[in-house]
Amino acid sequence: MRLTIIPFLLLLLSVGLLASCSKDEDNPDTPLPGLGGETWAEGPTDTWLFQNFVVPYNIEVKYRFDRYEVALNKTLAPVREDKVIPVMETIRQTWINPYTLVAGENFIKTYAPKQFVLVGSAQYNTDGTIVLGTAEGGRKVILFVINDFDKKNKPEVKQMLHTIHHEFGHILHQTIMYPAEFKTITTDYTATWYLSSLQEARSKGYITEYARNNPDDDFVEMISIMLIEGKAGFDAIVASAPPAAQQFLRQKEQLVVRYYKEAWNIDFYTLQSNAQAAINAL
Amino acid sequence: MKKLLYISWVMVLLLAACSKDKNDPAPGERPDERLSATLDAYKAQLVGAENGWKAVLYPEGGAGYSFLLNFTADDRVRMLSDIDAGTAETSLVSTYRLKALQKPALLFDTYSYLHILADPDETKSGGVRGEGKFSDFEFSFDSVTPDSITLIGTQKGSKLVLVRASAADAANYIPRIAEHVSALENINAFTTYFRRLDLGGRSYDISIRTDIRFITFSYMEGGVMQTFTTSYYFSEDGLVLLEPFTDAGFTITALNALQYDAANREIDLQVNGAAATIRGTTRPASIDPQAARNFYNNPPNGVYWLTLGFTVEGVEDALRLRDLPDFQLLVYWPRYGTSNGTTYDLMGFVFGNSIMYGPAAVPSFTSDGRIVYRLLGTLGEIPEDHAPKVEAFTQQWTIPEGYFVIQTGADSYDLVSAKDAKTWISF
Repeated sequence: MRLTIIPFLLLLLSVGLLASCSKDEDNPDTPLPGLGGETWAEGPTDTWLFQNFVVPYNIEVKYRFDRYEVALNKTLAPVREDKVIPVMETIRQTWINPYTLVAGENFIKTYAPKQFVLVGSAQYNTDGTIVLGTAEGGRKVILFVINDFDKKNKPEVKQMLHTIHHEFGHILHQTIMYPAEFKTITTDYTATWYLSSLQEARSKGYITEYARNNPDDDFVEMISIMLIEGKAGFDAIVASAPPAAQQFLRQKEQLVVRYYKEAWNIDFYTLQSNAQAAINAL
Repeated sequence: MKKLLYISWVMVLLLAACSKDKNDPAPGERPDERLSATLDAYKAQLVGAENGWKAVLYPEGGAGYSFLLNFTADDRVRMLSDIDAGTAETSLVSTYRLKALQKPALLFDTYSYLHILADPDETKSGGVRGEGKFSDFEFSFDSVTPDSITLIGTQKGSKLVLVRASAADAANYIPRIAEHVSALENINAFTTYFRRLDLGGRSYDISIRTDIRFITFSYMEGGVMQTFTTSYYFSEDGLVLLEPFTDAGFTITALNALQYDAANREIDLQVNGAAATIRGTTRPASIDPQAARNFYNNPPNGVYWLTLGFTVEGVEDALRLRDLPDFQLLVYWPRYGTSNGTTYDLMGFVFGNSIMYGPAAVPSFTSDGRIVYRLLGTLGEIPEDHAPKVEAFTQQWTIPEGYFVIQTGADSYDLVSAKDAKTWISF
């Protein structure tokens, strides 16, 4: 009996000894380079972005080139640092402020895409066309051709806002769906939307070529064009379309207005005139 | 006895359990510690050069461009470059970062002068639309010594070589290079087609594309026209060929001490220590006697398409054929037809999809390699308002001196007026 207990105790002891003698040199406290995000010596641009976008809206603006935020196989150029503040200031004035005026401070804070990535050059497609903006899942928006940005160039500013309004529109309808009857106003949606001209798209009751892609894009293209062109500009576009198409465009307009009222309690026409005033004030 | 056994077992355990692990597979610091230390050391080296670094960037697309880079500890870099007169004169501050990619890397992450070369906007880079000059602005460290650093572009594979600058370099490096660059730029103001490099009894026809930094030497070897093309960059001494040019044992590696002589309209320089000049000439240094016949006999698919008319003293389409309503292009059609036993060529003016009219002429070939056109008549109806331009074009086409024929590619030729070499047309 005694002799059987002793080996057992010894066994326990030896396990204890092995465990207690393990060393603590593999200390997990060693900092890993790059862990926890990139760091660099901050300059005035970083401070401005922090104060004007991170603090009020929790929006990160990435202006230092990061290859892994963009298409790896494309030749792109970074932004000029002196363009960053003018671009973001313009975005704040023409996109954030009009919404804030009608929907209050918290609206943009809650729903805005959380990351803007700025690229200096355009992104060139193999067919010679260029990309001006892209977005991923309502979280990240990439804006191109920032180095040529000039806020006095209205068509360019509108082009940039087009992308932002478009993506923000997606976020809104993914949060609260638009009225289902929107999908049945016009039905010739096609994945090869890019094969037809703007004129053809308008004659079928679509505000842009891309609006023919699917009802979701149709809906947000309506929002985007109505906001960047303003009431007068939108009316002129409608007036230039054939009568049958005019009726479709008006129905879509009414559903957008109804959606903003019912889903977000926003008066769309007030938002529209705010957005126009902001663009005209640049 | 058994007790002794147990006690010795305990002793063995005590000793064994506490023996130190001597089999560390990666002794010393952890990889992340070493990486951090390396990045810190590189940054310290870059920032530590108080006069900055002389740099030459060799884009994958060819040629080389010089920079003076001053790195500071706050992740900023100030640079000058010889890309153009403005970048050589005014420095620009942008940001940089050292980061561990697959290798330790130096990233120039906001726009500055070296990004011009990589800009996909061809109006900025002077390169290819969508690609620029196939250059980089993100580099990995390739080799490092205390006074020089070689980096390789991560996307295109360009090379960037940094050499620690002295105080004198900081003041003079880019200004000296810029003088050579601007001296050479004068070649673009030469009004004649031919530019000849004369050095110690040797003459070469050269053509220089200063916008992409390529140079071509043309010369005869055993009765056959040869061309040699290479790209170049500038050092403080002058223009350096990236591949040396060799002709019958004579080698040119650099065109040094470039200076423009405005009075004589020539560029003076030194090759291998001997004086040389580049000047515009009315005749080529060497004439390819076969070129005219090759041009005439081998039009691709029977005809040449010309998108531009005559260039006069460097002005493209000087007769402004493009102002003719709906004018598309010219079609040169050798052996278009026969009239009374005479075979003639047509220079067809294309409007829309078809040749509407054009002068017809008969070519002849001289022993010194020229092609001369004699006017035979006109085919088709020339509208009255087109007549002055067509008349002027026809007169130029059929000048009695004819044209030197210069082969510029497999199927492309330039016809250069033998009268004064100030007018030419590209096929």
